[in-house]
Order: sequence, then structure tokens, then C-alpha cells
Amino acid sequence: MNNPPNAQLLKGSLSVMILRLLEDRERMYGYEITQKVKQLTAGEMAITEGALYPALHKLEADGLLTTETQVVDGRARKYYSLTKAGHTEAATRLADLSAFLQNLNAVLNLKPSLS
Amino acid sequence: MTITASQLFAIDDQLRKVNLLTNEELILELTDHFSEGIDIRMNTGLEFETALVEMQMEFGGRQGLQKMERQYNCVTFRHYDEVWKGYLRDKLRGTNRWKFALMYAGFFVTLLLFDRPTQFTFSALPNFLPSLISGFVGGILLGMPFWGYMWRTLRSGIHNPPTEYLFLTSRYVPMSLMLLGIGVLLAYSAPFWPPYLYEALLALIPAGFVLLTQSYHQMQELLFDIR
Repeated sequence: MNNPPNAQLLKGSLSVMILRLLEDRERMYGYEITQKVKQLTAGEMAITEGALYPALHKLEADGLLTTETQVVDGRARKYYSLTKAGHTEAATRLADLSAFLQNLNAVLNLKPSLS
Repeated sequence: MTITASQLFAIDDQLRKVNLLTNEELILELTDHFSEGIDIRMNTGLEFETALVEMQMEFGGRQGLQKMERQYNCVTFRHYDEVWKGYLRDKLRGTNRWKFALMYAGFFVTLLLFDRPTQFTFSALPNFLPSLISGFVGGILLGMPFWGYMWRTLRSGIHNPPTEYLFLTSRYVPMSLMLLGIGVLLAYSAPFWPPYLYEALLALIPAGFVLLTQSYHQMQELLFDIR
């Protein structure tokens, strides 16, 4: 991630973010994913390009993503979409992350008097 | 504004010759990524060369790109490993199992025909002719991947070894050396092994080499057929 304060926080969430974005859109390509994250977070969060492609490749190798290559403007473009297993995994990982964020929020919002 | 053919060529050149990337799949994806990013930047008035440098910096420069390729290759290599293991398993299944058993029996009987040394002396083992033959065969087997590697490297440029050969070499050479090492250890400890067990174990070495070489060729065909 480009933004140093977010870098460590976002490191483990990259694959969940990819799965979530692809759940929303039928198919996306690498550059589109980076731009979508920037757009959704108004530039507050940016996926490091260097981390994106190995993550996409791993999700594909794990059978969660499927790819389709199309020629666009004279160059090959690889589109990613979720497989059936990918849809299930996306739902599971999102639920896990939500539960984790809720718990984290509960701990962070502790009143000093309670500690 | 759309990226022209010569600009696409320049991007490809930048990825291969300046950043020394070799993974074809990744290069294709990056070419699209760079083109899209450069296109958008050029629409804001940037020159192609400046936009190219900016894109490169987004990936952390040459070091960043190479690090990414290593991570990408790790995933690719894990997948290739599974395919290779599958080829090896196939060689020990169904009718192939009997072919392997026959080949193994052939090696076993051949080894039984040789008198093995009864005393542990370096001068008795191994004698000149078997050393020469095993050295020759071992040299060919160990050197085999390098011929292809050297040929491909000469074609793609000395700095740019193809990822597929990097994978094949990184798997074939250690496996061959391991088999060879076990064979040498067995040969030198021959007098200490019970009758027949020594020959039975030693016969596994050439049989293993045959399996490894056959599966190596299958992998080579698969990896270079895809392209």
C-alpha cells in the first residue's frame, strides 16, 4: 500500500478487498481494481501495484478467480472474475473481517475508567 | 489518446530489457497496466517518456518490479510443482506401474550381475570403467537442462533467462544431485549392506533418474507449448 500509516493495516486485507470488488462487478482487470479502490476511498487508500498482481495470481491459483484475456487497443487485457468457490470464500472472508473489525472497535472504544 | 504500436513496443522493451522481467504472463499484464496508466497521464499533457517513468515508480522502480516478479513466480512455481508431481504419480499408476516395475527389475538384475566389493577400500570402488560410464551418463543427465537453458538464454539475451527454464533448472538439478549423492553413498557403503538389499536400493537410483528425466521432458513440453 502506498499510504505508510495504512500500509500494515491493509496488508492482510488486500485479497478480501479484491474478492469484494469482484463480487460487486462481474469482471475487472488489474488497473481497474487499483483505480476503483482509489475512487471508493477518495484517494485515502491505494493498493500498491507491486502487491496486486501476485495477490491476483495467488487467488487464481487457489481457484477463487478465473481469467479471460481479450485484446483491447492492440494489447492483451486479462479480466478477473469470481468462481463459484470465490463467491463462497468472499462471503466467508468478509464475515470474518467484519467480526474482527467489530471486536477491534469494541477494544479501541474502551473508556479509560474501565481499563 | 490511444497508445501507439511503437509506444507499446517501448513499454515491452522497458519491462524486459530495463527491468529484466522474464515472466511472459506478468509482462502481458503489466504492458496493459502501464499502457492504461500512461494513456491517462498523456491525456493530462505529460510526455510518453515522463509518464513511463512515473508508472515505473508506482511499482517501486526496477527493484520493486523484480520483487513482484519473484512473488508472482513463487505462485507459478507452486502450481508447476503440483503438475510435475502429477506426472510423477502417473508414471507409477495403471499400466505405467508395470513398465516401471519391469525397468526397475532390469536395473536390479544388471546390478546383481556385477560383483560388489566385499571390503571397504577406496581403491576397490569404483573402478575405472564404471566410473567413466557413470560420469558420462551423469554428465549428460545433469547437463541436459543447461543445453536448453543456454540456447534460450542466447536467444532472449544473457540477462533475461526465461522463467520456465529457471523453474526447470531449479527443480531438476537438485533432484539429480540428490539421486547421485544417494547413489554414491550406497556405492561406498556397499560392503555393509545385506545381500540383495544393496542392489535393490541401488536399482532405485537409475530408475529414479529415468522417471525424473521423463517427467522433465513432459514439463518442458507443457511449459513451452503454452507459449
